[in-house]
Amino acid sequence: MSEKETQLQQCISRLRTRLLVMCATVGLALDDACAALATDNMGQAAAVVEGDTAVDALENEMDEAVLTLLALYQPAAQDLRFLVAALRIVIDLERIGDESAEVADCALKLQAPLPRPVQDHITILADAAVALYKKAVEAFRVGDIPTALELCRSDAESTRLEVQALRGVMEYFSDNGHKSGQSCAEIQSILVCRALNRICRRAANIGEHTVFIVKGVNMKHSVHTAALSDDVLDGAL
Amino acid sequence: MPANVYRLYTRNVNFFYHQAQALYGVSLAFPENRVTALIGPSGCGKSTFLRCLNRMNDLIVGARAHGEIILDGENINDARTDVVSLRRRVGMVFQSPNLFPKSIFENVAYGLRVNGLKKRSALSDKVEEALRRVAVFEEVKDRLHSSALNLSGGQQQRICIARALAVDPEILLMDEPASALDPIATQKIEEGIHELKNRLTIIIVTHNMQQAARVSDRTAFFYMGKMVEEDATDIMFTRPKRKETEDYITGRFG
Repeated sequence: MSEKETQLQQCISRLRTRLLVMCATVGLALDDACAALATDNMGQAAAVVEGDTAVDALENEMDEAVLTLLALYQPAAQDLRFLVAALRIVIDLERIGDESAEVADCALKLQAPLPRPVQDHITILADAAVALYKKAVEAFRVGDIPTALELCRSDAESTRLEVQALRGVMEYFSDNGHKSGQSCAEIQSILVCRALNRICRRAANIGEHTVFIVKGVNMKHSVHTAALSDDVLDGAL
Repeated sequence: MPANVYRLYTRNVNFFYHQAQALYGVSLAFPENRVTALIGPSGCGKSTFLRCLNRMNDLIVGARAHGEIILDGENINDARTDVVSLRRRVGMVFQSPNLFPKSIFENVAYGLRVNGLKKRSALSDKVEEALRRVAVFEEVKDRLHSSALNLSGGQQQRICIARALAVDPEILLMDEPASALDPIATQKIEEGIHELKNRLTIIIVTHNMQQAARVSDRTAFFYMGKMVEEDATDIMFTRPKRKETEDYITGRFG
């Protein structure tokens, strides 16, 4: 049997390209938000907040395109899995965009640069979030299952990093005579940590969707926690 | 589940039209009260296989089948099989409605008469029951004795199904039963299939992937005379195991 690209597959290829555009747009927003916070760059932070509308527009565009393809072509198998996963990935990307805007918004609300030790704690978490996101996009782009499975297992590490960052932030402000929750910098730092942790979790979701696209196995809600091994997944598809 | 717990299953069925082999070692089991769809490109052998199940191919000169087709423990390819009785137990509906140029009543009563039922009231009861089972009775009850050929295509096909059902088959074979019908008539046939499977085992050949996905519980994919893959329909249409199946159901087949 020879392979040929049908009209549906051509539409899916275009959709996939637009999805990667959305991945890149969100990735830039995340990078810029973290950089704006680290360098106290208000202009860059404001640009991230304003740029979120572009991400929202891409979400609407993707939604509409997927619904149209589902309605017109009634796809099956890998085409169906890709379209269903695309709808889910778009939601995760949009939320990562929102969380990036939240980080940027916190940067805008700070009245002064964060103290160095606080920024260092946040940077560790921010670097982890950026790395996980890049890994998730690349795993999706090339259908890399080992990396996608690694992402599926990353929640515990994300939580550990968030707790470590929060503890570091709170200890710093406590040690420097601030009453807990009274400092704007402390509150914004905590909000940033929460937002970064949510980005890590959304990146892990993209790993789950990649497994679903390639292997047809549902990794949501730890359905396959006990089966997070290549051996088990080898049986699928 | 091993094949021999099913009432109907095949084992290593090979089929030839003269020297040309059309089926290669097809083994497939049909769960009771379930719909099994046979899918595959034209010429893949699915209709040939379907017709093997009630020996309709016997009518073709030079056709011969080898292998076992077991119905209730007996090989229907055995020379001692009573073919008329077999076809009463394994009914068939074809692609196009093939009604006799008779009244609706006589069409549905035909098989009953062949099987020796003569009493008028019993015939009427059976005809009405069969027509109700395919949800066409209300549409035709006032013209049961007028020509069946005056009905719409969709109604004619449902009369054909009723005719097959009237003799109480245990298994119903359907060879693209809705391919010549409009979407509304197709929907009625599909709804009928959902109802009928409570009492029957149904095996349907269809070229319409969405129809196979909608009506069947299990799906078997045929290609070049071989049964390539068989599984629960939801699995076949979301995550088939074989690349050939994936290519066919996603239209990559070239």
